[in-house]
Amino acid sequence: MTNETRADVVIIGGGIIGSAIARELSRYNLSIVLLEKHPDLAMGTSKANSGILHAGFDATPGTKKALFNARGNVLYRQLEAELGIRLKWIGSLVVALEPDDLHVLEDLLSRGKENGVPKLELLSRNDLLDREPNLAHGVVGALWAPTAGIVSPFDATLAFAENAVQNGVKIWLEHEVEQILVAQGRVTGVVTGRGRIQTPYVINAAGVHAGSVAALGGDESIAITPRKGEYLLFDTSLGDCVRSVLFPTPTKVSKGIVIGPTVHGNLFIGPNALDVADPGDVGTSAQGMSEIIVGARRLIPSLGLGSVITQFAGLRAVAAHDDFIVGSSSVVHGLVHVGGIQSPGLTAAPAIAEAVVEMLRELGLALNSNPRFVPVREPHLSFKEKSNKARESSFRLNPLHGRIVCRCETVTEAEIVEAIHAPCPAHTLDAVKVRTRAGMGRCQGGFCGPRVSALLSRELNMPLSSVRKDKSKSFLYFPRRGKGPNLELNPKFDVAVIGGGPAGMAAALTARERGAKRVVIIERDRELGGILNQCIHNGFGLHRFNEELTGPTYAQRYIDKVQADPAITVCLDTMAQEIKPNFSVFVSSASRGPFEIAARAVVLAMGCRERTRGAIRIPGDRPAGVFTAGAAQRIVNMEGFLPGNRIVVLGSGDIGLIMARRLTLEGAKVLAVVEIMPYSNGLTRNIVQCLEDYDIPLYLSHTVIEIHGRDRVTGVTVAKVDEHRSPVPGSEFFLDCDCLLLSVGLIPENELSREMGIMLDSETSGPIVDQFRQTSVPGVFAAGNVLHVHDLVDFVSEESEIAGWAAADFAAGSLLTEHPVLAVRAGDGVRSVVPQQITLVPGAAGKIRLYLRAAVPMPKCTLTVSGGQKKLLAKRFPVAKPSEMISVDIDILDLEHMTEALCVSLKDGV
Amino acid sequence: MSASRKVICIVCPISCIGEVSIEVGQDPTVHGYTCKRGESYAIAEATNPMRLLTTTVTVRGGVVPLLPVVSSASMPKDYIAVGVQMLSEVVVDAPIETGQVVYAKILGLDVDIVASRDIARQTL
Repeated sequence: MTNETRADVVIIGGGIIGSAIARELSRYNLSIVLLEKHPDLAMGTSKANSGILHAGFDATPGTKKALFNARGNVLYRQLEAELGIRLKWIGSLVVALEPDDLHVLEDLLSRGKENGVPKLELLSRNDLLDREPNLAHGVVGALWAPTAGIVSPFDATLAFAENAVQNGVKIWLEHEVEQILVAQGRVTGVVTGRGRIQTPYVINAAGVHAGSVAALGGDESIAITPRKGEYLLFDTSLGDCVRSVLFPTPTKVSKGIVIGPTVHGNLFIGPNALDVADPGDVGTSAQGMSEIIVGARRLIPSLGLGSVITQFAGLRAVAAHDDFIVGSSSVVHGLVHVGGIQSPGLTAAPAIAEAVVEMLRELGLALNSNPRFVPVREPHLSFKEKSNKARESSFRLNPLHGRIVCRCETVTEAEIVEAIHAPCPAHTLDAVKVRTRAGMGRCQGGFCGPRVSALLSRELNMPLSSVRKDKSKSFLYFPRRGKGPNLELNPKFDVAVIGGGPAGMAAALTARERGAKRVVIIERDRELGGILNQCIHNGFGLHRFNEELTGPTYAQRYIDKVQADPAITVCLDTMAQEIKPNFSVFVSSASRGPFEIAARAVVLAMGCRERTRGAIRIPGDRPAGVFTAGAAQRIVNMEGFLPGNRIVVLGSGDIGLIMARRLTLEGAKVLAVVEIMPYSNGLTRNIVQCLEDYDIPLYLSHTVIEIHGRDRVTGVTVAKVDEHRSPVPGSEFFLDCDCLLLSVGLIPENELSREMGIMLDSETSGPIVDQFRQTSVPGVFAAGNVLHVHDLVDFVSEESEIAGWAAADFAAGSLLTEHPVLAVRAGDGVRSVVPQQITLVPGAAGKIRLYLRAAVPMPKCTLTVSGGQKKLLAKRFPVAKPSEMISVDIDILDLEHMTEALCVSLKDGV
Repeated sequence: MSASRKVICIVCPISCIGEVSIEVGQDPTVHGYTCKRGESYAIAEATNPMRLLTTTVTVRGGVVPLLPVVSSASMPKDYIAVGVQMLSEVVVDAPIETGQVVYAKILGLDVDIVASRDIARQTL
């Protein structure tokens, strides 16, 4: 985690107000950070209130409450569709219990008209009782407001927040603001317990703490009184006892006790009102309970208490003058207060958010529209709401839907796991509860609580003793004495890395650095290190470590680090056989047989294999003595045997050149290296130090046209080739050898990738990836030679770090991939380029390195990167060869507004 | 007496091919390179070419049968082949740690042959 960062706007407080503002601001091209001190959103006033979308007749005309209530009520009608917020426009009734109350209703009616509330109507006793037959029979009439509605305040907050995150807002939970930095009367940043953020604009949406937050910036003008309100919640059996929200006629002292259904079909009564000193006081009292029961029974005398499921209290934030505070600080420029948001704050939130954006504009914040703003949040249907047929298909997609964890509310394990890894993740028991309703039913978590806790422990890789109820320190369980449970059984890994070579090790280590809690490396060989173990020559690490290492030493450096980290599990002699869509890797191990390894993200690091004789179709006999250069390398360097005594190498790839030298030093005679192309495919260093040092001839534009020998190779026929690579008749000559080594290219090993439907690039033969090395299957990353064949391991490590980093982020749910992508194409003179696409993450900055290979050798050339007519950059290279990968950095900011594919090309000349 | 030698530079991907002329009693002269680093590489390569030695030696009691080794510093190019041949007779016992000296002062040079990886002991 970075300890110093920068944002255009910082919002303090993740309640309905902070979240609505974050979402409204995400329409603009800004970097926005929302800070919330609790482990979840909506933990203050937004969590416990009546959940009413008020029609707007109650507030005194001309006040902010009146203005924002009316506008907010209208806005929710659009938000309902856009954000998939579940609303019920059930209307509200203010009930007159005595004839005198009717005057009050008339006052409310005229106030409502002044506030612009439509369709208000006075109902007669009969009309009222028709509508609400359970009402006390002594009622005399009511004010009917059909535009009122109900909503779950948590759902509304989460809808704003999730859409904000989708549009690039960063939400940092458990970040309590300790200081607001001010210089020369202007906001310059905030300090949290976990680092500092530079920003010119801070929005104080801290609810009951708005006064103390304002004071952190030196503004003492805000005074908030917490006013407690207690509630009782009934189960769904009483949900239809009323059709609309029922208010008693307000008196001068109180608005009275409300009765209403909730969006989820429960019934609630409350709240009373009690000013408290402690902004953390949400305890309920017997006195308060009887107060609300008595109040509710005035309206519904038959209300029984047998189906009460819980009691709770919430705090309203009340400002000194009783109206909302929505305005700039008079003391500090750049500080905007949104305080005193009591009822109708939930209704007003989207309207307040609009007003705050306008205020920021007036304060000088540049508001350019965010081209990637998506106003829509995918609607979410819970398992319980689905038809049996839809439930069956959910189960087929994710078998975790087969396990019902919460019986009262029919919540499946799949829904809970999804909530834990959602864009606004649930990391506490209550966070799971408010998202999935697990624990909200009759038993109030008595059955599912321990089970949900166990899922949190499993999914977040933490012991049960780290699971919390709701707040930062609300730990639920303590370890008992003795050894306790074995937590190592079937652990779920954040990242599973397939392959323990240089790519796999670098990815695993970086994933850990990036915060992955458990990582597994699945390696089919008996030890880590991959192909480096047999590359005993020097020449590795010049870029990475600035020294010249041998292959085994380069590997050893990574092996040491992997072995020093107990959170990296290494499975040796273990072969990955299948990657399932939920990222479980089905493996077979020498010691345990077949089993499954569960993970949240996968890094493919299987490396590559060599092209064989079959792939290049050499005619002739099929005797013993034809090997790929890499197989020969393993035989010589790891097993201690020779593949032959008189050797011809076909192909001038690096392994072939290295083996020509190695075999010479081991006493064999290397007769020739034969290369079909007019240039070598190996590094110049290897031509010099492997061939020239030992006087081994290199035949360019030649190839082996026939292999001789029945049991063992007895020789090969070599011929010159023309420009079409066809043998030139008459140019043939015979080489008397007993071994032919093939060094004719490498192919990324993508059987696993192909089986899981990952899209491959026909040129590199590796997966198509974006700059995070994420393949076409989200959550599956690829790096190293499985992605494209590298010539230097140093770049394999570099690339694998990118993949490991991104995989850890994906596992943590913080790598958001639902963004537009820009294709990157290989143009003239370029054979291949990686990454093949760029994901346009809003607010991203920095550089992206493109790796490419030239199609043919070119002395003095110019590399250009362009998108449509726009040329992004041109870079000169003194030389470009197909055998040496080249790289170029492009600036992400240059890609803004880019719609056409990027094209990378190499042209002769400078 | 004078001699000239073609030397391909390996310092950077340009791979200049230049020539080094050596005249007895005089500093060598070079031409055909595009940078100073190339020129000094070419002179060293023409007058006193140096290489690292890498090969394997036999391991006794290890989880793998061979140990890759490397010289602790570059040594004259014409010592490499004989050094490799000599080391083919060497046997070391596991466990072995990276950097451990397997053969000190090879061929009388101030260069040691060291292990280039760890090898654990084989447990039965």
